[in-house]
Amino acid sequence: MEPLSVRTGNSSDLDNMPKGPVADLPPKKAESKKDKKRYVRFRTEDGAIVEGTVSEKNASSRLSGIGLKFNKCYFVGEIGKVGRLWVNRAVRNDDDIPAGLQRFEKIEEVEDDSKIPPSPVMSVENLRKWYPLKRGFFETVFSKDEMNVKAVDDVSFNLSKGEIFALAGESGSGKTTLGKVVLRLVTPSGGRIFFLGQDITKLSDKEMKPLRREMQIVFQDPFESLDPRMTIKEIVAEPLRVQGTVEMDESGRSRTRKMGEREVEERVKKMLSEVELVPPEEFLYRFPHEMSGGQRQRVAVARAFVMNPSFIVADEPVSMLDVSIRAEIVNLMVDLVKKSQASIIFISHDIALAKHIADRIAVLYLGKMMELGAAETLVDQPLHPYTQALVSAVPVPDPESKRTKDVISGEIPSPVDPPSGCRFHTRCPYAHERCVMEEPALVEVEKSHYVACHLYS
Amino acid sequence: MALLEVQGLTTHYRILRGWVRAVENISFTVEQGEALGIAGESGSGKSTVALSLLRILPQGGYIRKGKITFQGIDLTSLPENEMRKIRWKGISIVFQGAMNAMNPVYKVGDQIAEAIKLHEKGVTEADVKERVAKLLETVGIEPSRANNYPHEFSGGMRQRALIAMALAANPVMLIGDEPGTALDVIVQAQTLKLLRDLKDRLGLAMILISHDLSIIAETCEKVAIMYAGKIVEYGDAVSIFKNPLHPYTQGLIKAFPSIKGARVRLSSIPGQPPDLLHPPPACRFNPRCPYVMDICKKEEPLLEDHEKGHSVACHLY
Repeated sequence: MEPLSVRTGNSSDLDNMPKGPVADLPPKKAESKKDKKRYVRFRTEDGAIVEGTVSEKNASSRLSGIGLKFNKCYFVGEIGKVGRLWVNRAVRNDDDIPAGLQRFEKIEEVEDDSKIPPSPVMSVENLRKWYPLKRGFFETVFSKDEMNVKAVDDVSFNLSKGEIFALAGESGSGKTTLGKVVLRLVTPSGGRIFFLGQDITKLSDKEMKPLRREMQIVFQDPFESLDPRMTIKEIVAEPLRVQGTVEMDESGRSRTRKMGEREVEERVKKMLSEVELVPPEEFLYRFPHEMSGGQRQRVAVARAFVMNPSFIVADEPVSMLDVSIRAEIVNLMVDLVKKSQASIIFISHDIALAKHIADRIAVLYLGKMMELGAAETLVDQPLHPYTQALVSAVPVPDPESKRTKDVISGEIPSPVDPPSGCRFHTRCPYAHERCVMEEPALVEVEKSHYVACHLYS
Repeated sequence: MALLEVQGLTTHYRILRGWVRAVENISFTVEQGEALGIAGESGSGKSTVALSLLRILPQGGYIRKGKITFQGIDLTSLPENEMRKIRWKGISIVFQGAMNAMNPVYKVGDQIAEAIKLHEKGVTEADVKERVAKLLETVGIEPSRANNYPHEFSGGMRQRALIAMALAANPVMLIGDEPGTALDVIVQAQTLKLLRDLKDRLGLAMILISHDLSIIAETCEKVAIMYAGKIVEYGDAVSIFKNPLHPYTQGLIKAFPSIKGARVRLSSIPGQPPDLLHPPPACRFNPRCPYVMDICKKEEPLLEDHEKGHSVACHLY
């Protein structure tokens, strides 16, 4: 697995933390006047990774961790040793630590800030979405197992800031469900989702609302995703009206405020010109039916980016559009992502398109991640037989090129009762006994190139 | 003499505000055993061409000019009862949207059988059954599945069954209207492979309509690129894809993300397809063309041979 890590809060937060001694920190260097910060990362007993910077001056720190929603936490221990974690209370000495406190395995030290790995915007661990099947009375009584549609099954990944992460696979592979689950539009059945350092797996709708300003979605069909009775202005302004704007007051605390009509219009106009619907005045009071498919999708993109979110799911945003317009919308989204540093999950069945725009591609099959790697490497040197099949099935606009491989036969099996072992073994040309018996784990074969296949383990 | 010869076909749709010039003065030929691909954006008139050939235009659609000569007979002037004999037996069509093209309340086998019974008088029930089984086998479906309803078929199988149905009356020519769209890449590749095999095995002439140039490149020997109701480039597939002449064709080919080669920023054709009620004067592509000249707005370019078997309608040449 990839190392999971999350870092929230900035150094100014650390300075404002209450002072409380932490035992056994690495010895202070006397000559250092500057407040030196140490970055620590450790894994707690329950497997969560906690990460943060420790200020020596204050000898206290604020750490945040995956799965542990900390406002304040202190750790006790030595770098490189097993230590203990103390949450929401200052630790004076070792005796202050109550029994049963979370213990962390190892403290890793990074002195230089630049060496600190960029923290993921989102990290997903063993995420599951199973839809239970409705059963009749007799089935309930006589059959032991509950039947589930395993739409997403044990998927893990990290999403870094500004990254375009593509999910590829056939229909029925669970791409869209995964997109909806990470947005919490659908409640996951298992696993964890961390968004901006916070565990959002079990948050209620009310708790999710302030986070919603940071997450948006662009749907596939611009003919259905825009309300036909709303004007373009209303459509783009809706998130602004619902969420308001965040401001800092004098004491440095953020609060939300409703936006004034003029302010809203300014923001909408600015956004419309960013999606190249110019002049924006001409489009403000139009209705969706007065626009072409490409223009509508621009409106959908504008609506998603108007809140300046840090995370967007784009669910097949161009598959309904004409080829000549497709490239424009794709380029527009790539530019906006670059500009706003938002991270985006780009769901697409078109692996050729994903190759050109995504940083990384994950290939899904029946709810499982089959391969994960840098976009270009994954398409040019696919490792998993399924990825190879996907890539070779893409038609090439060259009448003289002949397919090198035969098209694999069959279609994606039912996710209710997926094949045993490796889910792809029923269609895999290289399937052997082990594939039927044993499910392959997703392992790192090359650097940052993961594959779940027995051929490579 | 070519199997199908279309000359100056012009099909318009009558609506309250006037005539929508969907297809304007197009000509092409298809030989026995040859596959022609018609490519273009939505609204370029590709499907209208197909519907015109079979004379199954929706209400308001009229063939206003032109000749369609199929096996030496002009289809445009043929009375309706004669035309019915051409459909299925002469030319048959596989429609877009495999999901909805079949009647959900009849068994797949019965739907295929219906086509046979209607077009061949005096076939026995046993014969029909055997034919259906054979047809399903041809397209790679277990003959026993004839007793299933369409909802019991997967998307790819439904598409195959539709192809089987189109072949029911042993047609000479098969028209595929976007046969791969709405299917997954792998199933799409399977369907295209099937069509190619059928073409070679049965010696079918084929017209493949698609917005996806790469599908056409893989399946067809001849290509017609349509833009706003007109053919802008026409010729043999290799020379069109190797050396696209019309700026629109060049744009379309570049707009395709290629699975091979390095990562590039995709290029697009700026602007939108024109309103066919009031198409732009002269060259219809002039508002979007990067090489537009004065003459493009005044005079309509004609489809002329640039080299043997490759013609283009553009003032650049």
